[in-house]
Amino acid sequence: MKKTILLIPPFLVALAFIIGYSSNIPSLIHDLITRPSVTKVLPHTTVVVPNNVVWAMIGQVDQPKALSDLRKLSGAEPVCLPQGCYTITNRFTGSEGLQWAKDYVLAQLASMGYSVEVQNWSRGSYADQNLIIRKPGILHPENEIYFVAHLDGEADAPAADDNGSGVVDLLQLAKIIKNRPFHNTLVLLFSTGEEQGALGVHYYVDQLTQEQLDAISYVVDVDMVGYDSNNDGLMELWNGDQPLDFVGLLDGIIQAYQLNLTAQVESDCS
Amino acid sequence: MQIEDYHGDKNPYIHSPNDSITHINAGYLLKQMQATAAFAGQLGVPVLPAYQVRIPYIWH
Repeated sequence: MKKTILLIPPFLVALAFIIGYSSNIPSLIHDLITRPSVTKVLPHTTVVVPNNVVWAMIGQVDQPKALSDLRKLSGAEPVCLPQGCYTITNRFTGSEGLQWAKDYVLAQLASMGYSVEVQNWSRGSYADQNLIIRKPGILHPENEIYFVAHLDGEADAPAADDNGSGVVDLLQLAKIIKNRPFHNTLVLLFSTGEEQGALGVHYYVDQLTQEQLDAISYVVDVDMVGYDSNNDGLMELWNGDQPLDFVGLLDGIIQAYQLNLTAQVESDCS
Repeated sequence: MQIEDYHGDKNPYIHSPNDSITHINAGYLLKQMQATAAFAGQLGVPVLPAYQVRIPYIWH
């Protein structure tokens, strides 16, 4: 009982603060409900306060399903779709193997309830398709966060790590975000033509208007996330010439959710 | 716009027939997938149910 009595006064003080200083209670309540978790920005690592929704998202990652998808995309198991079964020996841009991989990813996304945009592109002697899904933000749909993984591989490679790993990563993400509301828009782009010079991504960007480009807040490219030579959990963040604040934010997220990964910034993308 | 590209160790098997499921570290892939989920959650900013609102947020 004593504990209850001790806890009430701070709450009443807080309530008085709200009533006394806010002329717009509905707006304040809305802000309380939807406030982002990032609380403090440091020169390098951003301190992130974990929230339960993100914890739940992390807990929804389905490792057996991801490995099953990866075995199919890299030819360890056949892909079986309504049109038949096929063993993907490679996912070279323009190849039959990549067509089966795209069909498999399309089927997976459709089974989750997504409407998938299939974008045809051609550059020089290469032509293929990008697959795009969007989850519009509820409060700030004009803020777009991109997650990108290339679906294609080299001609003589099963391409499990490069980049089947990134593809199954994004398939898991697609499943996890499907029935959750977010402030910002999340876009997942499965590109092709990467091994020929990111041709699919270049085409995608080139056809965007300036307004659409301005809407993109962050781009996270997931490429080769299945190989750790010495089990040290090192996660390379290839930053290029970008400001370090985004790297700091990602590092802060890793630490806040105790993901047991060690972020290492790589500034030279050459 | 800010762009980030992340991945694991430099893989000597890529672009070769040995880039197979055999050389995938399942535990590491799991951690990377969890990180991607966390990045999406934080950057997308989930709309929290009202019962998850914490009073201390009003002081920020």
